[in-house]
Order: sequence, then C-alpha cells, then structure tokens
Amino acid sequence: MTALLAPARPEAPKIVRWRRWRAPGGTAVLVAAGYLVLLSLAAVGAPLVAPHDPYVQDLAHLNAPPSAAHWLGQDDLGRDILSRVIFGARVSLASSLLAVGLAMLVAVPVGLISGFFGGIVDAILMRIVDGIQSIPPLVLALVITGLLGPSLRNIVIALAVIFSPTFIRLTRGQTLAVREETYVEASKSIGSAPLWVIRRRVLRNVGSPLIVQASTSLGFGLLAEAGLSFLGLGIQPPQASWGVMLNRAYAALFTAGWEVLPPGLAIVLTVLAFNVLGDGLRDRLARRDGLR
Amino acid sequence: MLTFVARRLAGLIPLLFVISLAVFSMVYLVPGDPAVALAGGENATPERVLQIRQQLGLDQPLISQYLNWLADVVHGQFGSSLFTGRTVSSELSTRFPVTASLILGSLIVALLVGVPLGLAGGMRPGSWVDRGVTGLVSIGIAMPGFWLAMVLILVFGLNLRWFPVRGYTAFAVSPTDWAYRLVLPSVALGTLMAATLARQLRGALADVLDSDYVRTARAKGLPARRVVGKHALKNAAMPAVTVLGLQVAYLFGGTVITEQIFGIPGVGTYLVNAIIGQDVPVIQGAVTVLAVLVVLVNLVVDLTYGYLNPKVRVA
Repeated sequence: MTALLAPARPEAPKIVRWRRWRAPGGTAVLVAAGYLVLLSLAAVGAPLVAPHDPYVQDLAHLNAPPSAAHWLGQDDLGRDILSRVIFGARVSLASSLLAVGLAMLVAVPVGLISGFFGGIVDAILMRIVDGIQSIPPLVLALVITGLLGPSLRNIVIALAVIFSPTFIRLTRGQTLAVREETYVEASKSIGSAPLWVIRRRVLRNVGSPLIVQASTSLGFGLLAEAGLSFLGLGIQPPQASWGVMLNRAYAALFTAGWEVLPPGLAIVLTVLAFNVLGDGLRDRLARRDGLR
Repeated sequence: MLTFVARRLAGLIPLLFVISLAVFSMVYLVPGDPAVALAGGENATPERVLQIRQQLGLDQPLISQYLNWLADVVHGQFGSSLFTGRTVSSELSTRFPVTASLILGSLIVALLVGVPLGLAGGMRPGSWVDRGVTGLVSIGIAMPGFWLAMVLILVFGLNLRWFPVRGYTAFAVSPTDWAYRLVLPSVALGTLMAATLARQLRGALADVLDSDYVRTARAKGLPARRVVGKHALKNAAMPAVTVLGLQVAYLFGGTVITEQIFGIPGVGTYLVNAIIGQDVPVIQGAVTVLAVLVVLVNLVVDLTYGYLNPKVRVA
C-alpha cells in the first residue's frame, strides 16, 4: 500500500543527515569505519606499507623485542612482526570477506525460495538449516577444513557453510513478510509474475539487514580464521595470517610471551570495529525506517 | 503444555535425521578415494587400504553404509579409531566428564561476571557505569577466547604464578585441585558468554525499567531495589536465559581450542587430534555427541520457556 502511494522519500537536508550519523555513538561508528578503511588500504598496499619483507629471516635476532628498526619486534625466526601483521591482514581479511560473499551468494536465493514457496520446500530447507546450526560452528569449520585439507579456498568454503544459516533465515523472514503485503496481492491481480515482484521488493528490503549481518559476520570470520589457523588447520606457514602468527606466538609463549600481543590486538581491534560498525548501521537503519 | 512438549519432541526426528546425514557424509569430504587417502595417500599399502575400506564399510552400497552406520550410532557404537583401535564410545565416555567440568566452570564464570555487569549497566542506562559496561562487553565479544587464554597464562601463570598453566585433575582425585586447575580455562572460555549475557540483560532491563508497570511501581513509592528485584528482573531474565541456551553451541565449539591450550584431555582435544589425523570414526562420533548435546540443551531451553511463558506454546 505505502509502496504504491507514497512518493519518493524527500531527501533530508544535509545538516539533518549529518546529525543522524552523529547521533548516539556516532563518533565510535566513524572511528570504526575510518580504522577499517585504513586497515584495508594497508592490506591492499602491504608491499608498499610494510617496512620489511615478511618472509626474510634474521637468525641473529630470534624473538628480539621491539627496536627502532623493528617496531613490534621479531618473531621466532627473526622475521619483522609489524610487516607480518600487515601482510597477515591481507589473508585474514580476504578469507573473511570471500567467505561472507560466498555465503550470501548461496544463502540469499535459498532464503528467497524457502520463504516464497513455503510448505514442504520451506520445511525441508529449514530442517537442513537447523541441522547445520546444531553442530557448533567452529567444530563444523574445523571438520570441513581438516577433511578437505587446509588451504585458503577450503577455509572460505568452511566459513561460508557456517555463515549461511543466518543469511538464509534473514532472507526467508523478509520474504515471508513481503509476501503478505497488499501490493504483492495487487501485482498478482494485475498479472505480474509474483516471484519477480517479490524478488525485487525483498532484495530492497533485505538489503539493510544483510549489510548489518555481513558486518558482524566479517568480524566472526576473522575470529574463526584465527582459530583454524591457530590449530594448524587453516592458513599454512610460512604465509602470514593473524591466526598463524598466534600459533607461532603460542609456541614461543614461555620464552617471548609478548609476541601474542600484536596479532591478538589486531584481531580484537578489527572485530571490534566490524561490530561497532554493524551495531551503528543497525541503529541508523532502524531510525530511518522508523521515520518512514 | 502436553501438546507443546509432544510437538517439540516430534520436531527432533527430522532434525536428528539431518544431523546424522551430515555427519555420515563427512567421510566423503576427504578428496579422492577416502580409503586410499585415509590409509596414507600414495604410499598406502593395499592391505591397509582394504582394511580401512572394510572398517568404514566403504565397500558397500551407499544406502546400506548409511543404514549400518546409523544402526550402530543409535546403539551408541561409533566404531573405533583408525590408529589406536580403541572404541570411540569408551574414549568419549572417559573424556566427557572432563569437558563437562570445563563447561560448568565457564557457565559459573558467565553468571558471576555477566549478571552483575548487566544489572549495573541496565539499572542506569546512559550513565558512566553503563558506558563502562558496554565498552567491556564489546571487547569481551571481540576477543578470541584462545588469545585471552594465552594472555591469562602469561599474566597469572608465568608472571604472578597464581595458577598452573597446563593440565587437569579429576574431581574424584582431588576436588580442590580440580577446581583450582579449571579457573583459568573457565575464565578464558566463559568470557564470551559473560559478555553476551551482560549485553542481553542490560538491554532487557533498560527496556523493562522504561515500561509503564515499573513506573507505576515506582510511583507508589516502592524502593528501587524492590522495583528491580521483584518486578523488572523477572521479565528481563527471560531473553537472557534464552541467549544462554543458544550460546551453548558456541561454548562447545570453544572447548575445542581451550582444551588444546591448557592441555585438558577432554572431548575437544580428542576431536582436534582426530581432525588433524583424519581419523574419521572419531570425528563422526565426537561431532554426533556434540550436536546431540546442543539439540538437547536447546530443547530444554525451549520447554522451560514454554513452561514459563504460556504465549509461546501456541506458536
């Protein structure tokens, strides 16, 4: 109804739009977004940004503490930790990003089908989703990478499998809601193919919650990648990822314990940034939809 | 209530069927011919390949493989390890109490830390206490449990020497040592749940305190302590309990790495070693047990919720 009659929402004046982003917790969201942009730039431009080659060993300075030349010290093979954190950002962010992308690519159509057709199709798909969610996510990811063999590709597959249920449920819920709307009835009565109408409407409606969920999932993906690589079932050394670095730091825990800090703090900060961004977007989208 | 219970129980059947299919098909995730791969790849002797093929029933048609496997599982038989030859069920039953202890410890940590934080934040939304709680909660959620474990080992194990850094003592051997050694692992594993619990409780309490009936209770002059304790908390606790139930799956997942770090011989350590060695029967057994436990916990949470809140029973 509203969609048929309401004119395009008038654009809010610039100052109001700015206030909307400034409103509660606005600074935190901006800081988080800024941090993520900088981190992504550093990851993409790692060879330019990193002060040293992340693979070059310096056997004279094993586990050397921070110094002027090596700001975050050197690891158990004398490699520069700062450079490895920067190069590690590439692998860690890429695996999380690819996994979320793959999960959405598969899950959105499945959720759409499930919500649209309902009945037996929906029941079967939902039982499968329930089943997947009954296996602890980290365990499922470990089993998949462990049996397929550890590699970036298989990490992405494993993470996509554990992310899919949430995205499927989200899309399905939106589809169910839209299916009941009057304008779908209306469009059916004028003879347009209902699936086509729904697909357009749902994709517009589900867009915002998907983005919010993607942000949270990106954070969780980092945690999961770190866990897999830490156990030796993810990214394989000598390639650097934050999880691989924690694995090495664990081995050196009794001799050079401070080495757990750089990769660990990188993970905490980045996951925090993704979560703050996700929460901030959720609040703002809720408020925008409330204004409508 | 009875139909509600019956409906929930009936819902378990398709769910357990899906889980069994998923666990059964795990052996086919191994690239190539599973029997050859599991026997050690190209260097495998034909005898070993044949032995594994027979042990896993890979020489039979797919349907009968599944049915045989399922029949065994229903009787609590998961076969035996490809390497040690010990039966998976006996190994699981000795290791289960260890993991259960760790989970119990984490739940206690989650309650001891999460509830006070949630209450402190929810009582006065927007205050500096609330902001502090929100900050702590955000960090708790963003932190990998195993990283926290390493930091705890560094600070409280190696520097302060307050706690041992590795190992486990059975309750039957020495209850005090059992508890003592579980402190660090429980904090490492329970922090995420404490943070989630605090966040839920804070949000729910803030909402409830803003409602009309609480305003009425305040207006008639009830002291704040009683308003919160008697009226608000009852309603605020519901969503928090649900979250606690839903988080259990993550807790079971978390035991896998936590046990590894603290050298605790539980189900998690068993599972990780099996995954690294591609010991399929062990993987299938351990995953089945974990998944069934998650299903049972969710069932209990559901039923409790239905018991406490009649509205849910209809849905």
